[in-house]
Amino acid sequence: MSQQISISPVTRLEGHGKIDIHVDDEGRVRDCYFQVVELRGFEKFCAGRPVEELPRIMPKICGVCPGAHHMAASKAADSVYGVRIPPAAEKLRRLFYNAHIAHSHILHFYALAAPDFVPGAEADPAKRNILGLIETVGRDRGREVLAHRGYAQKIQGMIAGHPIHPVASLPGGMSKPLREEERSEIERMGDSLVEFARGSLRLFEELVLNRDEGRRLLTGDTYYNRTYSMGLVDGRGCVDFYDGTVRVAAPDGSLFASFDPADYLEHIGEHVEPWTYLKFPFLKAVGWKGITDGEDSGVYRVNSLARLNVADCMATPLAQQEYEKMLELFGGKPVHHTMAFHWARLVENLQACEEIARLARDPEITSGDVRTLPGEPVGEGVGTVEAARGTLIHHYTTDSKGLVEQANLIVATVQNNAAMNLSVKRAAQRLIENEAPDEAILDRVEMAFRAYDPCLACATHHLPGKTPLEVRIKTPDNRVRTLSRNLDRKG
Amino acid sequence: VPNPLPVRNVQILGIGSPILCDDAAGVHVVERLRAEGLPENVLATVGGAGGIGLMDLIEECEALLVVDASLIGAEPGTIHELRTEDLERTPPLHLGATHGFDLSDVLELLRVQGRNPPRHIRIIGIEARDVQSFSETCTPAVQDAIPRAAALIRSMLRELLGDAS
Repeated sequence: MSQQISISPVTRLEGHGKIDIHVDDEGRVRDCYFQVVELRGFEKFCAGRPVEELPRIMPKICGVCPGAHHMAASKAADSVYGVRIPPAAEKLRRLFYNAHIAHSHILHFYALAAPDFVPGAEADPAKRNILGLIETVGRDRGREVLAHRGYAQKIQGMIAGHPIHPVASLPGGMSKPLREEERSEIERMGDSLVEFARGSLRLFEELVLNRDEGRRLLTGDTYYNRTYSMGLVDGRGCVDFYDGTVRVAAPDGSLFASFDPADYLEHIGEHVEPWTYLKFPFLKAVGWKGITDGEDSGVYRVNSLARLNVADCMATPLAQQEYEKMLELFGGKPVHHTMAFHWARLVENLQACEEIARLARDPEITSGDVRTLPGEPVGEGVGTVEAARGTLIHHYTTDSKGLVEQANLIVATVQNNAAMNLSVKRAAQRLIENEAPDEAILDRVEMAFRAYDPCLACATHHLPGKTPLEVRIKTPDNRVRTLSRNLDRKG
Repeated sequence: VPNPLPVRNVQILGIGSPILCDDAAGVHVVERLRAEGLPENVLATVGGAGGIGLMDLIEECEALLVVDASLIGAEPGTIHELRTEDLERTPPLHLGATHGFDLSDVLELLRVQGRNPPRHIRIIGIEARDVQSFSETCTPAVQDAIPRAAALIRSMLRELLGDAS
């Protein structure tokens, strides 16, 4: 008789999630199921609305990545109208979007990722948060983190009208240009962000690379899966968050596919499992072979590490140096160590900050020519960006008046769905088969899915150790033991 | 970067997703209060999904009134009056630890930043029925609770501001 372990992160906004781990008679982990309940009625909600409303509505889906939805929706709406936006509008969108990436990456590293390394997974959960980290690194450093997170948020607000519910981007470009006094303030904040981003990488060295436990977590085999990687690259093959060609790298690092984002349906299939609402995107050319990794499985990963795996280079000089350092430690790419998503995030953060500083100095950034008025809609459009969490695709079709008929979203977390299941399974295998203590199982499984910075289950945005978890272990003689923590928090 | 807004006496903050049915209850309450008109020394803010984003929304003020949807376990439309010490046990949807930070974390981070958190904090939770369907309107029981919550906030303002309200 096999036993079943259920881990339920209790949550709400994006539906509640649950992880079931099935263990066989020999105590080996057979399968893992990461489940999320989806939100309802999205297609119906969009249908009949003017497509130009979607860039303002999409960011309101949730508070975690509004900037990414704002950009993907704007680009899809540009495409529905077949309109080419003025160069200054693209620069403004890129400036906004790099600030969005910087904000998301700074927050994830300092609030969610770093506490897993310092004070570490075994520490008191009350200390495993940004406040515990501030205790370790000092209040001055803590103030720096908060100030620079604030800068990245402020830049988004200055360009897009509101930091949380951005509104300024619309089909054809932007609704307002950037004023000179705003530009000069962004330039100052951008320079400061670059220095801060470099300091964050030094902190990563100090907290992770120079400590045995950190290095073991980063390079060991508990968090390791050989999968395909996917992400956008620019014309030079560099990481590009805003636009570009979709590139897929095989598990051995060779170029597997390169395609226009508008052709995504030719390359990405969606597998459905009866036990979850969440679909499993896979590479059609490889096929769905179940939740398994390797060359023969169409499972792929998105997000920071995947982007660095598919790219030839970073787009900015300082980030390029850091990219090379990272690849040197792993002996080249691709890197399949899941904890390296955190390192890759910091390399990307540096690129985003360098881009903010560069774009703020671009003479065209304050140009008044920021909108091309759209004409008649052509009726269909795809908008793709790299959200902080990975490739985000918005696909709309409209009638001849530009009223939405269909809206399809493929979000980053869904694309990492199979990979998250794989990572949770592997972490659970190592721990359960070595009879690790219960708390360690809870902590390490939580770390496995947190590396992907998933957004569908808000539980994953709980502070480390604060995620409400329930584990039910059913023993072969039918006794059920329940472990839980934080379940009194119903939020 | 200096805070451009003047110091207010009271801030009312409505949080939740405006497009997820009852999740938007707090947002609707603040919009109603704004439409009815508020004294100059009261700032009304609509603020997304809570969490760390609250840091950018909470202004220097004497008193902060937060309105949020809740799923604490009561009839939909029930209005809960809560204090910060209740949050550990019965947090509304966007003030508990969801999204990584609860309200207490945000207040502590404001202190780390050298800012003064509000001295008095009152929380109004409106019990929701549906927070998983896309809709810009609430379910009937929650819709009915919106004017009642607005009236409760007006009475709190009178209590806090006296004649100045």
